[in-house]
Amino acid sequence: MKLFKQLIIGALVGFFGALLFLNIPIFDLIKYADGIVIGLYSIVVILWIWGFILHLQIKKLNNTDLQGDEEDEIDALKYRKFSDYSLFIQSNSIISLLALCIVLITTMNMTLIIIGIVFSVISYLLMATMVSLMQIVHPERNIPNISDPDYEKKLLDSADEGEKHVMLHGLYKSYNLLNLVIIFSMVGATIYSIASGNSQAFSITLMGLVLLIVHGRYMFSIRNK
Amino acid sequence: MMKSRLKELRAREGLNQTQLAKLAKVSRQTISLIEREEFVPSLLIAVRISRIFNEPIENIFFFEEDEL
Repeated sequence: MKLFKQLIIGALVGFFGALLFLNIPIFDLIKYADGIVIGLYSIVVILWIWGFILHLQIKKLNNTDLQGDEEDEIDALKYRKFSDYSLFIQSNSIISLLALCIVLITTMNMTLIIIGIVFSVISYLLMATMVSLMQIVHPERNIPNISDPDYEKKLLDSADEGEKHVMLHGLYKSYNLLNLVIIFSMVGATIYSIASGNSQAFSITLMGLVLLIVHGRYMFSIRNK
Repeated sequence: MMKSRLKELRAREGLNQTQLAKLAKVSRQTISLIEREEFVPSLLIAVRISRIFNEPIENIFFFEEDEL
């Protein structure tokens, strides 16, 4: 019965996949580029405002003096808010760069290019505030300065074994997800190339190289241990 | 997975997770993970915790017989 269900699902996916492949709508990026870029910039601004509110909330929580279980609850809340803040700041730098790339390869709208450059610079500068906020939240820790040449290694060293355990699980899930998403992206870009006639060969090659580099880096890290 | 009496001993000494974490020189998150039995601490942390509570390690952390 299970095999039968799988065969039916497989047949349906195959049928609709082939149907989509034959009638794939070719999205005219140039036509909507400016609108998409403005939408992306709006998301960046919203995330900045949200991030700023989180920044203020974390500082306020840090100055709260509580005892007992409430102190633990505040610490857990501070940790979650800091994680959200880091996510917003890092996402903003990627979205700003993505929007800048889209406008550069499509309409070359000078105003949007300048906004993109300014937003990208601000986003990267704001990443430094993550470190200063971390230093405020964890004053007892030896958190390195972002300009330190060994910043990444020292930051990892500043985490204790429980935090490294949590990071390992998160990174392992991200690593597996990255592999899967890039392979699907390569397949998707190939289908798009064939259906639209717009060769995505360069992007597919780049994605393949990224996958090879990530796998290679991981294997070289573990093989001699 | 390892079980522990950490929560019970904390209550006995009137310590919250943040205070125990400071004494054991770890983060509150690590103490929380040990209490939730999601993480087995290193020998170093186990020794620090056993000294804080003045109890032998085997009185704080337990394993199922088939795990040993």
